[in-house]
Amino acid sequence: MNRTAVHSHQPEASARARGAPMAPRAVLLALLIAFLVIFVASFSLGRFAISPPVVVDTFTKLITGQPLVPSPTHTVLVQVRLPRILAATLIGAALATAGTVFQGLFRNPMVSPDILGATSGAGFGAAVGLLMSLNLLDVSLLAFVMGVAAVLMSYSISVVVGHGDDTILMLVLTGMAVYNLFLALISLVKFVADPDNKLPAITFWLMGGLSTITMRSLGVLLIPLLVGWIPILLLRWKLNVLSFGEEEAQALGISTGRLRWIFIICATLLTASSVAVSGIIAWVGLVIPHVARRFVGPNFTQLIPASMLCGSAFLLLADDVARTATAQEIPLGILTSLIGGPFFILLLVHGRTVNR
Amino acid sequence: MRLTVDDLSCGYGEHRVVDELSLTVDSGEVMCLLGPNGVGKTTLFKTILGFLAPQGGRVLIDGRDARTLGRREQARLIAYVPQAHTPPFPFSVRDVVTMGRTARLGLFSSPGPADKALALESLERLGIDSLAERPYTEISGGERQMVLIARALTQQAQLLIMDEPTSSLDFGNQVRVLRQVRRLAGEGLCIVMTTHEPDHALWCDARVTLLEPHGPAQVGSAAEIITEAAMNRAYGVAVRIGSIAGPGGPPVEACVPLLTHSSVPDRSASNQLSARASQQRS
Repeated sequence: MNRTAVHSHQPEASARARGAPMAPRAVLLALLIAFLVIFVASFSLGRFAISPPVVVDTFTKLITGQPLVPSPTHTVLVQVRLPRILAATLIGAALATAGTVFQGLFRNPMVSPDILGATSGAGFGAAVGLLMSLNLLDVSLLAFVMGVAAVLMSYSISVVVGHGDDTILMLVLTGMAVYNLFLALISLVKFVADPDNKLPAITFWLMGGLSTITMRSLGVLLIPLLVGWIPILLLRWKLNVLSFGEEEAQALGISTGRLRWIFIICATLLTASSVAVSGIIAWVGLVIPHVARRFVGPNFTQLIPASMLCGSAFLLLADDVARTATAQEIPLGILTSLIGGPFFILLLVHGRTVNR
Repeated sequence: MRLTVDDLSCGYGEHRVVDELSLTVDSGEVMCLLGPNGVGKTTLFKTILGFLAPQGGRVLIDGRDARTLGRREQARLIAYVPQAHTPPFPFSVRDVVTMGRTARLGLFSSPGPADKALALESLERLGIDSLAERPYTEISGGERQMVLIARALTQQAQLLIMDEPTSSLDFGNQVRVLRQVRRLAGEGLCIVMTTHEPDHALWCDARVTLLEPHGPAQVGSAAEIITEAAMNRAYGVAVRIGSIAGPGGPPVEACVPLLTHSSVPDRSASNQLSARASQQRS
């Protein structure tokens, strides 16, 4: 039998393979532990410091149903910090998942969950809601609906305009148009809003933050998140194949149109529901997939869980800073941008030296 | 396995590129598509693979109309080997090859140990198993092409459709890829490939479909179709075809362009040979 070794003239190849990184599963486990540490530590951090043993003790009692003596510690932990920490965990994971999915679908690591207009659509919905002085839950609901509507708009325009030519490029282009349309509409709402009370409310909402989260809004958030997450987690291996492009994925046996549609809908549910509750939290969906890829590589089977853990950990840390760094809380969206931008550049610089 | 292209016409929208082409390819055969740029090789490929709907005629796989096959079923019969490319993410070679299992997996399942073992087996079959853990984006073009062939083998299809598998490869890697093409056909696979080198068809002992810009396509053995006159007609350049004796083994045919001649058809040569060519066509 004629066995040809194309690479035989590259002896350094095998040396590289031997220095292979840790198995992805071990890395995932390490990420899980890191996340849990940050999760628990976040409860002790705050204006009112609570030591980790007290945190663990309080929650052990709460979970096992032992009677708790009402105390300020208990109130702070359960009423104030718990919803917020759960929100940071869920929203960080959701935005990171959506970013990872969109990057795979659009075969481009520079893509973020904004790509099809989900964030600007949701921002517009919230701005309108605040303009009409709706209550907070209705504002979120309107934001969610408009976020999903914006993506449906991008998608259907691309189908009508594209005639099935280059579906992915057409989606990116229509997404860009819809995204900017809603940005303009947000500006319009701000322009007509009362500058004394409505305008600051809208501006503040758009900056993003978790201070208004309650257990009730968390419960509402959880439904669209689960509806989005479950199909993504079940189908995530197929994202690998989709990231090779339309024709190759089809030739490998995938009905790309239907599968892409499912991923877009699910990632949009994650994005729109997150933005609806927290406002616009930038950079998580763009940067975290890169971080996760550094840890476990590009295979979506490990990448999606890794992105979720990294996204949660990152947003928990950012929110810890937001609520402890200064006397007045820093809007979370500003903070994630301040950290995310330079961090992304650092990743790019580091990537150059490692990969080449 | 038999691929039948029956009176197939294809093109984009109103524009017809290939007109009423018929050919068959059987297991163990290599079919080379030759023809100048823009003559419709890629369009024909895309139609056979079902990316484009035919404008007329049919593509049959073992007598079944390819359009009645779903994506999954088609992928179990036909594997597509694209030109070596660079995907946006640095998947490991093992991951890329394992993706050949897609059509054999359930909707929610991902590849199991058996699938991964098959992927490794394909790499071994091509002698590139030592690449398994390397990032696909960082290996050479020749290695990438081999990996894509390994992925097609992992797909366990009977028909391999290869889009210019030797383009952008250095001479040595071209020869290595061709050697594998020949060998895989020898093992009973059915291979359809496009190439810009008439030599490749001669070396692979292939059957040839020559798509010409003017006039009907010609189908036949490499020796029949690749004549000096036909190359002159299809590509507008003068060539000579000769035999080179190897050390033991049969002589090898080669098609050599005559660079010092003008691109105007070489009348004396084409006159001599066109008689032979037209005989063969009839």
